[in-house]
Amino acid sequence: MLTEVLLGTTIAVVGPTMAAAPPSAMVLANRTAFNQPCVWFNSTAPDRLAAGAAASLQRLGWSVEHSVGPEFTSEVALRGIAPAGALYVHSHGDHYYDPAARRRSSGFRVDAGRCENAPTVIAPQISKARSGVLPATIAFISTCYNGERVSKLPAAFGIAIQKSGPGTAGPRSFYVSYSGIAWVRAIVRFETAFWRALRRGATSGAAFDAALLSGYLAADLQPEWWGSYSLIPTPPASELEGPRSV
Amino acid sequence: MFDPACIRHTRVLLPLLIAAACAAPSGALAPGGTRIPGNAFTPGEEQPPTVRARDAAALLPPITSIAGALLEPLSTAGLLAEPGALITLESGEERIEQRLVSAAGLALLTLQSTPGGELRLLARANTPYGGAALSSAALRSRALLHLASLRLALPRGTPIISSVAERRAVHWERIVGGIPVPGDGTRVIMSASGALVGIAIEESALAPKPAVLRSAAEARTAALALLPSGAALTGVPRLGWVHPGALAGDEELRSAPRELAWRMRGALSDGRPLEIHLDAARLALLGWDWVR
Repeated sequence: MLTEVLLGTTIAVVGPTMAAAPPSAMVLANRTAFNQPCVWFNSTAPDRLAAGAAASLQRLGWSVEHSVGPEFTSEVALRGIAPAGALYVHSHGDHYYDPAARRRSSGFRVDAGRCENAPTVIAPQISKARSGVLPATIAFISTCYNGERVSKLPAAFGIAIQKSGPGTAGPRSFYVSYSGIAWVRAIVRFETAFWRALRRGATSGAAFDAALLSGYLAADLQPEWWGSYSLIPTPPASELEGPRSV
Repeated sequence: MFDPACIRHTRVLLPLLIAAACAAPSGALAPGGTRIPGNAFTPGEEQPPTVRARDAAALLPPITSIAGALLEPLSTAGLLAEPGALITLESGEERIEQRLVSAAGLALLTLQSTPGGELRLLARANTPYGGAALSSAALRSRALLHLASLRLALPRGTPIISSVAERRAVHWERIVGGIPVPGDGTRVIMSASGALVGIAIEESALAPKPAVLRSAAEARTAALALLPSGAALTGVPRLGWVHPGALAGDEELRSAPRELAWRMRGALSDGRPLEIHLDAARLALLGWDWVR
């Protein structure tokens, strides 16, 4: 299904088992848990959301690697996330139990071809995989709960839970996710508008503001962001051989 | 100069609001008090998109005028007004988009209007955060002032006011024949202190209303038959105008007119919330929504 969606774009796709040349972006989406036979209808949303994110990141100058559907496993996710300067994940998310630390951490489920109880990728795993790596330029975690202040995911990507507003100096990072539960129809509206604004050259914060106008019900989605409003999330200059502007 | 339409929409509001909002700001949406024509073209007339875009854009006031008419005017010094461009939304609706961009190419003000010249979206970048937070009542008044400064129709009724990522959203939901159109209506996004972030006015196309509707009880029975094992309905059926789902699933077909549906919320066996939409006349499945 993803192949069909991506055929209409010009995404530079790198196979998930190949070493990604920096600057790399990783796009991950859970398809299995959101489609038959796991649920009682077929959903185009995961593929559409992943394709939208991938096309936009590619437009911003990133070399995009993707894994959508059963190939989105813990191993593939962590291997792709480790060096990534940009990341998009669409899946279930929550504050899952971390048996090593004996407390809750935050993360998301992988696809792995599982309807229920698919393995999770949690913050300590990401922190370990990204040890010594620069903070992510953009991390869009399209899941429930990971927009909450208690989420450990922003820190795992090197992003502090604070906002640097327009015109103020801040980190070269932008994190987006949702607080509480997130309804799919609202997610699609919000993210479509967010990526469209970024493709049109908006800063990350302005794209977030634009997406607030996208016609979803406030009760159905609570998006949140951390990082720098004024950031245009192109690859860092040190890693980028192409143009910085979009 | 006073605009009669503005007076008509604001007569129920506080006198202060009327005085502040309806005194025509120089260079507002319709400079000199001239209303933008409702439709620039003969109904049904086929014209190439480029011609329509050019003609329609010519009817719009300059974006610089609108920048100056905002409650917190945007200085246009050093900014470039891009020519209006015809864009097609996911719904298939055509709009004329105008942008005011900085020397660095960043859009500081974006407007979208119908080809007939009616403003549908205003997005302002770089609205500061912080400042003294307004009460809900003050946010509602400020939202109305923002709309009035642009001579937009002032919605009636009680808006839904919410806080999101340190912004404030004031949303007057569209109601047709007493039935809500979820997501449609007039939405004003502001900072906590009331500075404008954006305005969106959505009016989706609606399919004809069925002559005869099935009852809520019938809808509930039909929905229960469609739910997967272990799932349950937890809410009362409500009527609403919804987009059908692609493959009768969870993704909106926004290019299709909204249909009148019974909307029912419930939960899967694991507790995850869901919503099911059934055609209000036939009780056929229109689509689903659920959470991640």
